[in-house]
Amino acid sequence: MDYLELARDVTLKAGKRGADQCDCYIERGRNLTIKVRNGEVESIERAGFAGLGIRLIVGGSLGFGFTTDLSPETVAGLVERSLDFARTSTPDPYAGIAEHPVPDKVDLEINDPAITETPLEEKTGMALACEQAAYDHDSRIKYTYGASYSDQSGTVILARLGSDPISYDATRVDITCIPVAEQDGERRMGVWYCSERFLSDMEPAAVVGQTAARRAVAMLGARGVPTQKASVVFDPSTGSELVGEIFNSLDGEDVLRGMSFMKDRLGEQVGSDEASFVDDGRIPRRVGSRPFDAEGAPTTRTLAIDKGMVKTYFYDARSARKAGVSSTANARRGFDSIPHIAANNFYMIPGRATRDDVISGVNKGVMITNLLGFGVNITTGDYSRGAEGLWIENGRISHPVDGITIAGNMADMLRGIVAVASDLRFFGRMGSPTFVIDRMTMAGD
Amino acid sequence: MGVPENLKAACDKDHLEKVLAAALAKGAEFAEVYVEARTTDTVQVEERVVREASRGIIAGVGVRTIIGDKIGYAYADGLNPRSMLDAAGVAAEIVAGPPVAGPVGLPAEPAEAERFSHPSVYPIEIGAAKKIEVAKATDDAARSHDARVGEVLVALVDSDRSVHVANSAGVFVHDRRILTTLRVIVVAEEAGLRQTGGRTLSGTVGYELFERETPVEVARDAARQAVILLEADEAPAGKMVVVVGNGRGGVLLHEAIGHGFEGDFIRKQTSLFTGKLGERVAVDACTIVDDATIPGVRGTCNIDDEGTPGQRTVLIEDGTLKGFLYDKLNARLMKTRSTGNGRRQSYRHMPVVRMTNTFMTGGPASRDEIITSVKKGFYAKRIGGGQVDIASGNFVFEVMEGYVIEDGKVGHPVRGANLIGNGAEVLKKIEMVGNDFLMDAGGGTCGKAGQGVPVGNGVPTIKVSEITVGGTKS
Repeated sequence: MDYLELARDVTLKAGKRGADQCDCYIERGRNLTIKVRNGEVESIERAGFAGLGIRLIVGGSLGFGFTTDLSPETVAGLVERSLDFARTSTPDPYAGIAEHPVPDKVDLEINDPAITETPLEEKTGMALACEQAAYDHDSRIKYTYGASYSDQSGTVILARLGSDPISYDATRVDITCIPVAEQDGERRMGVWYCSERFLSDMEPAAVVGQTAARRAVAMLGARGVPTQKASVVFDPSTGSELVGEIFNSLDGEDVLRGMSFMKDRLGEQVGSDEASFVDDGRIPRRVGSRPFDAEGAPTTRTLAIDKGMVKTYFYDARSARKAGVSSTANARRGFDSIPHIAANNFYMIPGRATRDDVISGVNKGVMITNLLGFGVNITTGDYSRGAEGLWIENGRISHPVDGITIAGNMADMLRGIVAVASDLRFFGRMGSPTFVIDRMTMAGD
Repeated sequence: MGVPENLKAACDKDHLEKVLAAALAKGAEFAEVYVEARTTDTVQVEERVVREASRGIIAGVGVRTIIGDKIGYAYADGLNPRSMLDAAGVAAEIVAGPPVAGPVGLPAEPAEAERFSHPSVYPIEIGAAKKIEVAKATDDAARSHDARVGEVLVALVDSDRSVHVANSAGVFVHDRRILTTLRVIVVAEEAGLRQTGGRTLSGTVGYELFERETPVEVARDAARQAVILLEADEAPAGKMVVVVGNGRGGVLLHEAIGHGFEGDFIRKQTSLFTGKLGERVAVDACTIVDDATIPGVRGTCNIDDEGTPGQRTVLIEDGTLKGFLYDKLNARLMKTRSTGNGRRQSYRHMPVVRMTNTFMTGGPASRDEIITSVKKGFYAKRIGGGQVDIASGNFVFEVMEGYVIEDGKVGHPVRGANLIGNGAEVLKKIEMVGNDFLMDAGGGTCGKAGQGVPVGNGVPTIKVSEITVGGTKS
């Protein structure tokens, strides 16, 4: 099937049947997931996928339809139904299919041909080696939840009524390992993973397994701490979760709706001098990189918080129209959804200090290595999450702790960032170095 | 228009037998075909305008092959008979073994699953205009509840799902599943302070869902919560007596305890309840059940996604561990029977062991007696999302609506609280069980192995002697 032509045909058909504006978004490709446990293959899943979404506007009202059944009858019926929904609906003053310029030709190195060329046995071997390395790392790794290898290679197509369809190919590969350390009846789970666009950029599978094992073993003997206020160190894995929450607080749509504590903070100092955050859709080979966003806006680099000062919020086309600004190319969608605001590659700008320097500056606190649960309210900035990690006393790691929550307000947390290390690492589309927040409430015993 | 016209050809008995034979061709011991066609409508009202009015048609086929404990899985989007055979070929290659006998022949027509829920007003028969009207009325009701209501987000989602399961052992069943959900999020604003409240109403029924509770009532309840939070204090921090509210508090059981009863974790010996069948794991007053047969509840399953009828499984009875939840694969390897808990998000996913409606049965105490018995503590009236580490049983939940308890009375509302504890320990720290059992009207979506499935939760008011509350006030 020629998917580019299919996408174009759908928009033309919708136009003929009365749509004022229309776009068609197709995601297609192949994926593979291999799960292993105790040295054996547990499951292998492979599939080719293709899904189509059609978004159209009639008299200012939006209609939307999506399907995984690309048969001509279903697609034709879906166009009619989407038109029907639009005609029945009421106008949205900010709805519209964006007319972005045709994106420039740019090679972001996001498509690795080796992913389709590498034989299944080699990929299975990576998952097996990953789990085995976890077992070999420490005799206290008594069992595992397994290791997995998965990859995907696909094409994204965007056709807009009245212009030529645009598309890009992209790949992604992931390795995950979840070993459990056991000692005297106590069990501790460790999780580590690596995601890249290119196979050759992956951490060796054995390193993923060893890191997961090390994290599990490090938690053995963890105990509670008294309820108190103390410093909190985020490592790149837990830090990237907080970085994700900071992105959410800068979501332009939520800001406009009053659903973010960042509302009315443009141009204001919200964080310490150490707090700088940037979104960049054009870092070569990164998981979140792409030439254009889900509405066709060419991606770019957006400095959102510069040394603590809010420079901009993030927008897709609709929220930008409402705010009277330009899209920051942060629209993301699946074939089954209308666009929403999401990160390209969003990260905290690293500092110069090493991780050890940063830890040695902490008098009393905890380095969080695992976060549990939800408990983040972007509207108010209230932050309270379950946590475990390593206690720090006089600049040195002393013992593991668990059963605690760390709580604060995200505005205070941003102001409290006192040190940022140089060890930036990405977990998917979010990246973080190790950093220190000087004071948070810790609930424990 | 709704169900794709090609569904009939895809579910033809002779064709499915060919697909099963192709899946077994390389020596798999077991093969299964899952054919799904789902129509889903969504209306979202935000900022007083209809942001989305949509129709989705999700259709496709999943083919699973098994040898021993090894699984091959392939799926194909759409209902093209040719791509079904291709998927079967891929699944066959994954788990190759010595030759086996062909599949058992299928009956000419699929058996119709026995219905536990009996939808009457099918969403597919309701026009877009009516759906938009319901969503807008919900929006209006939330806005008119209180002058402090700012933004309102409404999502009205319904789905009508046709599922066929056929396997190499001769099972061939069909099920039609209806799910209707109304979600409301309200932002209240006063003097620069903003808070959100939320409510969900959901069930395996059609639009008669709104006879249980009207959209206006749901909207007002969401608005009420948001407004209450405007006056909320910072939450306390530390270990204390916690009273868990009836209904919505059931999510605590689902996460903190239920997941540990799932047969895959039991077989792999990764659950802390492994090997504890027949042992006392909770106080006498504690009985916990997973029940797929409750009419109309969100987690109810006529059949699971392997074709096994939904059932009621007692997990803990009067404090003693009575049973675990199984799908076919884990049941066979554990030499027991499936409890009808093999569920999947869609044909793009292989089935895994999942809960349906999980709840604790009621006890003797009234809610007032329970509250009065607490000198100083925390009342978690409504609990939101949570997470558990299966290996240790440690859990964390966010509290959506919480109050301090002082001298036997519910006091000031608090915000931003979390509950953190250990599932196995909580079971032994339950001090009182209320007589006000309630299934939560909303239910939730449970995530496991990258898949989400609808579930129901229920609990009476319960008093736990000690849970850590994670707030900001020390």
